[in-house]
Amino acid sequence: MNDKFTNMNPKDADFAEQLNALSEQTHLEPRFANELERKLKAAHKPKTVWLKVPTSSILPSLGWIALVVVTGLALIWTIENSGSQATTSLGANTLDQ
Amino acid sequence: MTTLMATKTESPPMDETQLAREAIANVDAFTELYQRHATRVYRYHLVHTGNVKDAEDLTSQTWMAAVESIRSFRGTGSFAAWIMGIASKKRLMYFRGNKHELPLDAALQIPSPGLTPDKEASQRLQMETVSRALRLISPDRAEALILSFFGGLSNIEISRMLNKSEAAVKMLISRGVQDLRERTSHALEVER
Repeated sequence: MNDKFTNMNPKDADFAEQLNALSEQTHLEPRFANELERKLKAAHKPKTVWLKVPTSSILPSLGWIALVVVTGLALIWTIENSGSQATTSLGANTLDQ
Repeated sequence: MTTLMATKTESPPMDETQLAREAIANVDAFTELYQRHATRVYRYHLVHTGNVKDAEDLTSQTWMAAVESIRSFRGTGSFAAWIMGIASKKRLMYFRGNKHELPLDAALQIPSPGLTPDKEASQRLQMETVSRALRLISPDRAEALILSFFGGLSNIEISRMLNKSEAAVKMLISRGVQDLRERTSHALEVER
């Protein structure tokens, strides 16, 4: 039973059913409906979905990649520093001799 | 009473939200939504304007606005309520002009496939009577009634649209039906 009719007296309920029947017999003219459908298809601009993977699943991976890159750079910097220190101390030893 | 639910059974709500999301990128999904809901939008505009030409024009405007703003559909309510919200805005813009003073008699021609010319004429008269009578009752009652019977929305959907409680909507519809019945000179006699 439709909840629209629960509070109605029999006369109103009958009238409401007739209103409903009137509504259901009203349809779009097929030619107009088809023409509008064609216009809508032409007007529809699909959103470009260039990134199909959700951002939430990419962010942790990007974080790990950033961490590896930063660690790598830190390692290179450390190696270069310790290399130049070793050269300096080697040079100092040679002068002493 | 099965016929009373016909508008709702046309559009099973199960996959509507998903379909609307797909419609952002997929024209076929949007077309599917259009095919499901075009009639309710047209009925809503027809009973408000009482004029096929303007009802078609407003139906067209409603759907063109929908295709442009489908990305804004959040899925918090039904797609039916969303599209009827657009229809309501378009209708308000229409009534801000003076178009609503257009006489009904010449313009109202309701195409109904499968109806004989006699029945079609009878239906046209009934729609004209209802459309005229709706302008004589309180706008709130008329809108609630139209959204319910011609827009095919549930009371909950109407209550969200009109910012009223469900009980208030039930009351508006009930009183609206009573007012409308009293203002129509003869009972509707529709072939069921």
